[in-house]
Amino acid sequence: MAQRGWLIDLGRCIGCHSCTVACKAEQNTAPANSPLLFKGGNPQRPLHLSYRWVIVQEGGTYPNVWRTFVTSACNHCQTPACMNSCPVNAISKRASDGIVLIDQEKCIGCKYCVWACPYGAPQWNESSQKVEKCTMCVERVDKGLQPACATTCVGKALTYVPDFTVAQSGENAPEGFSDPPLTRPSTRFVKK
Amino acid sequence: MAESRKTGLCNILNPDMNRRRFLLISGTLAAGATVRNLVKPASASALVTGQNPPDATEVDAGVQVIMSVCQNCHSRCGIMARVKDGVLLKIDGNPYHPNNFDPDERPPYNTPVDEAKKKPGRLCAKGQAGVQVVYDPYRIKQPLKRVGPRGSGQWKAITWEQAFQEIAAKLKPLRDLNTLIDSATPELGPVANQVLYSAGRTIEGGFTDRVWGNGFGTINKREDHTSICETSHHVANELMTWDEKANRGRKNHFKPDIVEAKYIMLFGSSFLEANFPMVATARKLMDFRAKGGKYVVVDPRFSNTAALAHRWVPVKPGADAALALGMARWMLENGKYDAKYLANANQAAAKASGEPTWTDATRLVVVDPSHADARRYLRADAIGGKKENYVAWSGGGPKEIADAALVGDMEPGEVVVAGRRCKTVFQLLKERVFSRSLAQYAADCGLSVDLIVTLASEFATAGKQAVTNAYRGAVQHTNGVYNQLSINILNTLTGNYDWRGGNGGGGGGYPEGSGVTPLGTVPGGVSAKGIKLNRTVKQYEKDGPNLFKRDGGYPAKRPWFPYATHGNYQEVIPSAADGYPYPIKALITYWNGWPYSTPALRKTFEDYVKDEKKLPLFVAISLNMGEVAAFADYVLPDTTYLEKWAFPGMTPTILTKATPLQQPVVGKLDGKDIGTAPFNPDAPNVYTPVLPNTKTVGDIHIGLAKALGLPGVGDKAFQDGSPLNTYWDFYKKGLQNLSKNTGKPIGEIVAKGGVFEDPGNEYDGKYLKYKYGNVIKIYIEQLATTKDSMTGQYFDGLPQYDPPKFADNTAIATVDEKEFPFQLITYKMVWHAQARTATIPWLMIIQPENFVEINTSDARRLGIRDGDKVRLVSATSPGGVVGKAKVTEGVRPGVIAVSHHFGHWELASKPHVVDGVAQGADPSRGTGIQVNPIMRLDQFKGKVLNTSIQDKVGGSVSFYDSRVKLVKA
Repeated sequence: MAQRGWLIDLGRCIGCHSCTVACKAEQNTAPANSPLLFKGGNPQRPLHLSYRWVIVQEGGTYPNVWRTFVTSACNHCQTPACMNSCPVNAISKRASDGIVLIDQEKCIGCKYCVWACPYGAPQWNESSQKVEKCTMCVERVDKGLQPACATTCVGKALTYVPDFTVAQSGENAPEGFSDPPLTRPSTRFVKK
Repeated sequence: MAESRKTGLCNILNPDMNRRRFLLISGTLAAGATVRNLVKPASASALVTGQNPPDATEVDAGVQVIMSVCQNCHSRCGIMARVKDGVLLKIDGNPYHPNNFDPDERPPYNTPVDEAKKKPGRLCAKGQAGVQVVYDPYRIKQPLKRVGPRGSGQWKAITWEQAFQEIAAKLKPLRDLNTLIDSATPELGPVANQVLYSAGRTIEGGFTDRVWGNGFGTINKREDHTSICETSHHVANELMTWDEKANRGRKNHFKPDIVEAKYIMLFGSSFLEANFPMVATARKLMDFRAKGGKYVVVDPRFSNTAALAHRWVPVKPGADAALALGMARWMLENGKYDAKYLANANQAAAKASGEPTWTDATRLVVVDPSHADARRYLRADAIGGKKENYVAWSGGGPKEIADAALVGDMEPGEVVVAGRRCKTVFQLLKERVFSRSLAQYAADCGLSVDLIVTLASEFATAGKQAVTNAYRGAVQHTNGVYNQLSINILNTLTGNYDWRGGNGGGGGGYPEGSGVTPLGTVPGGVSAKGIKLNRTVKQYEKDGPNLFKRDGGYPAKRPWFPYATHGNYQEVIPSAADGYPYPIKALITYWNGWPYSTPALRKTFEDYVKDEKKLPLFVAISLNMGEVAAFADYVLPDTTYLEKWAFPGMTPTILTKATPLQQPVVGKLDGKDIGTAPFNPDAPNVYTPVLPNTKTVGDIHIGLAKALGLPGVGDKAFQDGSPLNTYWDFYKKGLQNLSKNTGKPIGEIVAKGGVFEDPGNEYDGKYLKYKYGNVIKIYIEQLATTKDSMTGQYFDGLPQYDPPKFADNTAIATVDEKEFPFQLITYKMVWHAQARTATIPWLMIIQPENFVEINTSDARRLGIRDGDKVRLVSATSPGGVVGKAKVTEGVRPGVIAVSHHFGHWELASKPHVVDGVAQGADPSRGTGIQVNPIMRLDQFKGKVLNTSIQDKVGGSVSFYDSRVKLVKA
């Protein structure tokens, strides 16, 4: 079975969020329009869901400061924790290419998968009361195109791998990335 | 908040909501506009993966791609718009455009679009978010006329015809090209100059000059935003490359050949977040880094660019020149510079030693202060040569620098030639650089001697593949030009210009302004005369003799800016408010965010424009109800950048030639949705924008100009007798020119979004293919012989560290530092442009508000914790502004950093009323703070002025020299 996956060069992710917005624009995730809504009126928590985002971490002491960026989304794992947690079999892994998908018609919005996924990939939709996540732009890759996030990556950090070598699961994972043997993510990294 | 939550419920819970739904709910469409099926079809059930179906792809049936150019920031990258049935679905990068792809990724120009589109080019978050600029529900949808006082937010809808007629009736009496504004000061020019057109953001100056300059005849024809951006950078580079015959600079912008360089030093220039164009500078910088290149970020804030850098150098804001000159001192002391390069006195000598450029290092300058030629380069007529030639010292005597190769002595000491005491430029530079010790430079810039030496040594070791690049952070200071000149010195000492991996001027473009029809020629047109309201490119004493006499000489009532070749945006409104040098009667703005975007302008702006006696007519051409439009008499709604034409130009980051085309990607041409029929350049191509009662900025100008009866529009508007009745008529001419000049058919240019030289043409062996190939000046004779209008003293002709100062040359710190211990700086986030992107939900979710960023040690001392509300107060803004503190290690102690983009007080962050009905608004556009309004007003001998602190040489406003204190709010 082929497996599609991601290659992330940690020395080239510049934290520009081009991938975040590429995903929102391609997949039409909320919000699609103004006005931007806030949970509880708190401007730090706008209502939205994003299949891809950038994790920013920083530390150190002036003037020896560090900041790292890691683009993150569903890793379309070999043993997806989300799929195993779903009580209604709404989540499946495509036999042809290993892409993990949530069937919106079957999803009952129990959020088990949100809890189970170690990468925070499943996203709660306030509007539909169901869970969505990265589809690896399945409608694009099925036509021989690349996922929207990978085509646009400004720093050339994120590469779509049509034929991911499963043995390289989690290779060079940065600190804080969940232990690869747990779900065997279809993502590997190049060190900074 | 309850109300917005309620509106929110109908919104986010409505699964049918899509991008065009705003047309239904906004309710102010022109009669007759058709609204078709606005709901996207549900996806096939086999692939149900999210609440909303994804966009149709670029290879799906019925989907077209339109290549154009982004303007969601000023980098002007190529875009590939995916449209279906007249709806803009997605924006990707134009694969042909070199901003969007490296040479090894970019397809050759002859690749068919159907092939190239399968691999879209790279594009930043802002560019992709352009979809939400078009489909912003709070755009202005028809012309508006003010009812009630200025700024009251009360409007009525009017027709375009009414708007044009009423505005023209008020402008007509002002189109007086014969009557002087003031007969006692004829230098000011005619009454027509009292009409002022100010575009904030513009790439259509060539077109609008035709209307305001050649048509209306005002000298104030295009007072654009550049001085709140990077103007002192451009001015310094122009002075460094000044062409005396043409009386202008040869080049305003150099960029490192990023990929082939070995060491890059960025001063206030954030290649991963900003600059020109970030999509290319970031991509190339990461290529450079992957190849082992090392870059250094000189910035008081730990930017994303610093996060991936070899070194972060947290310089004291505004002291960049001290660091650069400290490095220069070490290089000069240790012989780590290219003496052979500097000794070449002319092109022939440079050529003989394999150098594309040469310098003025060996030219003699008259240093005898009492001599009539003092401060000037010695001219060869003094030794029996030609007057236009310079003189070097060579072989023990003076030699005319003529065409024959001449290598000069760098340090002959003080020599006497024809009775004039002279020194070489190199010697003057050395004396200047050596006037301060490394320890003094280190203290000036707040860094250690060790660090300066390390940087100098690393820089010098990389030779001609070491490049400095400075931008906004280093130049938007009162000493901006001198910072830039000082940083440039490091490039000059290594002689890296035009070398592969060195400093270059870029590939440039193919001309579109002439070839078949000269676009700049206006039959029956007039030429404006007089002095600009902001007194740029004029000298007080020389060009304003009657004013000079009337006002008793120095100091001038307001500063003049003799070398501000890119305007002065911040001076316009304060000058008009003062009526100096003359009052204006009508103000027309386009895409202008004056009080939001300009330091210390808000109060002066609002006080001035509220007074109808002082400003009788105020017209705003604006996409939305921004901070300027809110005070206008008429708001004329233009289209987005995705609905207009332009030739937007390129930046020197790109080494090959390109002339991109901006064109409408949505809307209708001759009644048909764009993309649904093949483009026909011979059709009338009458354009209907997405909001049918808006117009392109060009069509607005044509309508106004016709109502005024101005030359340059209408029938026989061009030299060849052809008409200019629609904006397309103008770009058709431009495309004909471009087609002739490149041999590419118009259809191909339109389909590919411009003409792009193929990859592989970047280099000429060890040099860049496209060369500057001219003189680089260390000594700026123009400055050394021009007087500062406020002091009557000559400007300095050499690079120098000059601390940030007020107009009277007192140091800001000495006046403010005690009470206001922090220096305030601002910055641009990578996913925002300056003032325009707060309307975009996709960008605002990334970080919904901004912060007052303060170093941990400062915060601890003041008892400020993360999230505390703090008030920022300056000497001229006692009320200050309240923001949320973010305590960080990533900003230099003593410095407060606040980003732009947030804290809008208009821009549909609150409703305005049209025909008695409150329009929709989005409070998220007003979150966070904007610190520009609290920045420091300038002062002169203790008297506070009505404009911000600014660079008297380059014309830049200062964004980084205001002193503030923090009070817990």
